[in-house]
Amino acid sequence: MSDVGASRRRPIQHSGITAGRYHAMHLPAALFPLMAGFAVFGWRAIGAVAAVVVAVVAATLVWRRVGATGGRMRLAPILWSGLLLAMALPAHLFRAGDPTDPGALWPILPAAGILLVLIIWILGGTTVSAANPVALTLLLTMALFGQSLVPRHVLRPTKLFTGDLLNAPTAPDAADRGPWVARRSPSRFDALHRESPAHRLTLYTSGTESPQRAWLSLDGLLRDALPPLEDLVTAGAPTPIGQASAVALLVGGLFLIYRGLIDYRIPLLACVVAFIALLMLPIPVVIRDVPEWRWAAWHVRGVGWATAITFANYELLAGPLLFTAFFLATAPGSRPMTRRGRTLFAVALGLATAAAQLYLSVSAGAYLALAACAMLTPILDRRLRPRPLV
Amino acid sequence: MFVAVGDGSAPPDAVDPSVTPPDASPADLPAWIERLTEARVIADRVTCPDLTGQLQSAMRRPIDTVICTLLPTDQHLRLEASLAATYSVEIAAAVNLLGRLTGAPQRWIVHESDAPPPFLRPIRRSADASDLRLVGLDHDYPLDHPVPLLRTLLNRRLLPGRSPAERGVILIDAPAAMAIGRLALLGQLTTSVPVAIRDHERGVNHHLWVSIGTPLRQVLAAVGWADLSLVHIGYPLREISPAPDALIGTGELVFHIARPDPPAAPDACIRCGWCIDGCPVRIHPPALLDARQFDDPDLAERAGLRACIECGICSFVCPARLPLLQSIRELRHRHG
Repeated sequence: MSDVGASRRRPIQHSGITAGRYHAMHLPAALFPLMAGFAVFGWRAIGAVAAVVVAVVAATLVWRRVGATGGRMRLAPILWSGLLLAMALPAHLFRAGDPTDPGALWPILPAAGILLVLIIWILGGTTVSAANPVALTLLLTMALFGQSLVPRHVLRPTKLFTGDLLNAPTAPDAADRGPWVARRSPSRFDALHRESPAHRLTLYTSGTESPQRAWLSLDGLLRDALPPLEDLVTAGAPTPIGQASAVALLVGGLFLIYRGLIDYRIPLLACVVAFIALLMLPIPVVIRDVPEWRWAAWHVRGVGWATAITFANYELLAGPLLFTAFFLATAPGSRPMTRRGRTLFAVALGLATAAAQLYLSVSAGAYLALAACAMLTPILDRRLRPRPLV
Repeated sequence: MFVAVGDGSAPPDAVDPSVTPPDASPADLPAWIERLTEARVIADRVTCPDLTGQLQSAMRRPIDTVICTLLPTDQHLRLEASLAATYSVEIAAAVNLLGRLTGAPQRWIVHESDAPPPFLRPIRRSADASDLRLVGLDHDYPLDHPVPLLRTLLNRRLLPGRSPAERGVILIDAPAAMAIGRLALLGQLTTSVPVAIRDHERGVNHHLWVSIGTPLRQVLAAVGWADLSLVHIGYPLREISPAPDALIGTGELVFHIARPDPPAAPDACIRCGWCIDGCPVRIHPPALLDARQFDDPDLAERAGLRACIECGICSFVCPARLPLLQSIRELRHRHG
């Protein structure tokens, strides 16, 4: 019998997915957090992303001509890394001005892109190495430019996409305590000046906060000094471009899981372990002359479960853990290849992130943790090979 | 349904359900092995590993399960299900006979759970009449291979290349069961076998009935092809090409005609991990590639060289187009 209805497809000896297409498949996932960033940070966010990406492409085209290492550089994975780098930088850097003027921040954007390409070249020309080039670039940029990278502005809800982020008051409005979505009253400014929750949390947990009154309790910090948690969940807090909305990050991350591009264990375990560690590790429950540090703050009188859990939520959402867990830690070069290895890696990442956020910096904690844990990857790959079923 | 190729190779008529199968007991097994061999009921392919060897092993060790698999090598061809639809009485008789000869209490016929009802209805009727158990599985390549099949059905670990009888199982496929059944019910010798060919170039499937010993070239000519270099034996992912003088016989009965993919230069490994995640026996193909490059037999052993069933999924999914399957074959060739 000859069945003429059979399909006229080519032989299925290969799926047809090439290395370039593999990286291109990640792009739609980045659109969700990017769109949220473009909405609440406006055209300066688009400009900042474009500046980084253009710098990355240009630097790659130059560096790939340098030596045998340069010959190994492929545009697709480096472009993806460049996009991730842009998502981790704040939009206010896109500000025109004379590059020699200390107030001109725009050169940081192309410089970060060029630095990323340089690091990739040093690491062997591929994004596959024991160090995560994006995390390393971000840490170096933070070390070099420190306070310039702290975001302080967010567009008013009535000026989404179109507003100018830097058309904002020069200082935070003392009456600005409500949720961002409720700030709809007419104003001559396009943007709000708000304190970065990551910066404020870092001051508190590192014990360097000097209270305005005699003392500052953990409860007081959460109630009076930080924006409502919903601003971190939906949008409205000053953050880097790609971290404007936790919901958008989650949708992008779930898209990656759905496409089979990342292992769900890494973001899930990293976030759960970080959350538990944030509840358990010692934090200042009150700052007087010196901070009063307590382990497992939830059982301390005057703190309780509700405050401890709210504090852990703020720590999770104010820092770049979600972004790191879904987009950076799942990068093929950084995470182990086996399931057991990924599980251990995610647990280590969660623990290290919690510790780094609490005692070093909320905005850099997850990147520091990733840079450290990525060094474990070759060991985990060597030690934890899959067990054959036969 | 089937087109005859070769001398005297018309597809046989189905046996009447009223024909009674012969009586048999474990004591009759040596005699039946001899009878099967004389009747040229010999099979040695992925879905039915060395039939005679399995039965000889059954004389030395206990067998608790007889399995006839109707899982297709290729879901577009469904050779096994086509046979089961026509020759269900023979297949049921074969499973029962082997069950009685080996004393196996479990006698199963395994089929795709989503096979079309016209294929399944006759075998369900025959199985009910013979007290056999029908087991439906969600077929996903390479579940037709004995290693994942035994793991899925019975949670038993079988090393590739070893006889399922070592794990207490006699495993046959539909063509072998049909031949055994016809010998048992009618005393008929096997002179021809069913063959399925998927012609990707023209978008046509062929079901043929071919005399044993017919050159593959002649079979190809019957479907309008002269070029053996386009032929893949079994599922194309296995990347097995026929010898120039290949004959149709006891081996694989499914063939694909397709131009090989245009050669692509492999990229460096991007560590996506798809080969590890997709491996049905959970080996570590990138480590095996390293083992071949550095000629490291210890690393190859640790990475699961012995467990590989050469299904080709690792090479299929690899975005860097690394020659993973070829590396594993080379390693096996080098280190046994």
